[in-house]
Amino acid sequence: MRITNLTSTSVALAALVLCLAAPAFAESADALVREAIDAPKHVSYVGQLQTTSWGPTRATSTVTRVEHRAPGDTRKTFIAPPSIYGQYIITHGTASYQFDPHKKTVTTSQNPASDNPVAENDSIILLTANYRAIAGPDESVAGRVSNTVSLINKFTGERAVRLWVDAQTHIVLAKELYHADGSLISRVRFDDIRFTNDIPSGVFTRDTAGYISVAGRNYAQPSTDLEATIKTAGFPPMNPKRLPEGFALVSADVSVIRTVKSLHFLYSDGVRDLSLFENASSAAADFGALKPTKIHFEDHDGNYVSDGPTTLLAWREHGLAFALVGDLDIKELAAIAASVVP
Amino acid sequence: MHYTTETLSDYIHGELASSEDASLFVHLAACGDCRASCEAEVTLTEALRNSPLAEERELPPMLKAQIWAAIRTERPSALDAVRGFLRPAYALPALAVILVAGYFGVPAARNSLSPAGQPGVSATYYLDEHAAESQANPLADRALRVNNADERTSTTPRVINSATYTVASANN
Repeated sequence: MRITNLTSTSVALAALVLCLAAPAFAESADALVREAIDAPKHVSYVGQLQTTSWGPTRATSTVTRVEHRAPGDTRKTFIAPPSIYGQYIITHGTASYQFDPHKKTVTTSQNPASDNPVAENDSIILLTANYRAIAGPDESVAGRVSNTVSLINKFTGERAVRLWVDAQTHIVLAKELYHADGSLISRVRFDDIRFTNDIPSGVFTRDTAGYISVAGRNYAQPSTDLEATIKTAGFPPMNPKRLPEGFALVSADVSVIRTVKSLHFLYSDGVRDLSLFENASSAAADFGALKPTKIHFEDHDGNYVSDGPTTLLAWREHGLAFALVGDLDIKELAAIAASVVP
Repeated sequence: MHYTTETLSDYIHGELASSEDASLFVHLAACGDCRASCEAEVTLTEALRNSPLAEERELPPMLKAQIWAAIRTERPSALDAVRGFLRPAYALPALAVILVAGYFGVPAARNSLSPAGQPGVSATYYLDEHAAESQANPLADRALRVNNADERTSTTPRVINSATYTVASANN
């Protein structure tokens, strides 16, 4: 009787300790993710980064030399593949400058989404709501000790992301994104990294003397004012009735392409993003040189094409032309597309 | 060691093999003479590009007026007009345009979901727009689509072929 009581007491104590320890563990992993997201704003570094992404039929890889000066200056110089060797991109706030030393051209683009603290904060809120951070064992990346953390989707129980976070600076040294079936979407990893505040200013110079200026894209300003955006589009849009669990509408915008007003909704679950484009003209997706595959779903004929891990599905419905883009497989996209009904 | 003008010219026009291109790129960072020669070549190339524009000359106004007057008074017959279009100077380019449009236009039209005659929105526009707006997500792949990358490296023995290129980074 006494033994039984002791055992029960021990189990109860152990359970209590686990209950108290588990949230603290999760909280520390959550905090690590937040610190990793915040680190580039106050840590400067120079390194060599290897990126690989897997599509349905091929994998692509690049090697870049990265110079980052906190909070917002970054230069990426391509080392591989040979076709873009020597090209470099300098980003400063919402502006990016793509230099091609061979053609002597510089392409300037503006992307308001690339420096949007409100949108970033919304993403973190969604991330916390939809994913559980689980700490893993420490590992070595680029000769440095890194804390590992996995982000597990709360609805499916599947791991979506794994991060290797530098133990000292909290810069992400490596990152892997996974499909729902566990296969890799992409891997980003520093082969070499050095933390320094002494990067010469000349590295980030946006001086275009001697280069021919080419106007790049000026991307639309994402808005959270849905009503005003729909009014600008000038037609009643249709929305998906079914989205993967955890996804929410985060922004909308309208762009004009060849006189066609294109309405764009961006959905996110904090890790994965999904775009729905629609327009009320008879202008639909023109795949040009891309080779789309035909698909039939719910009485619709559509076309889809994969660009690395990203899939684009286009179709027409009730006089509107639609395009759905995301890092989801075509079955998931078709299921969402089928739910886009009045 | 210094590179020849021919090699520098090939470098500027992207004609060198990748290995030689890389060597020259590194060499230019260290060699002031070659860098100066390279810049001179760039200046020369730009001057040559601009020279046809600079050499364009306006016809004297009186001569232009006389030519227009002659054109207005000289009205060809219908038969002359038909014959005119059948001359090789018109017929061959027209035939070439029809053949090229037939070759490239039909598959492109087949790939568009738009009804005939309607301009379609480019698929790359949708991919670019999605990639750009995903940059607000700190954990999504920050994709920067770099054009003109006709060659890729691969870590798996898969087919490598695409017109555009996606690059992602860990932190930015």
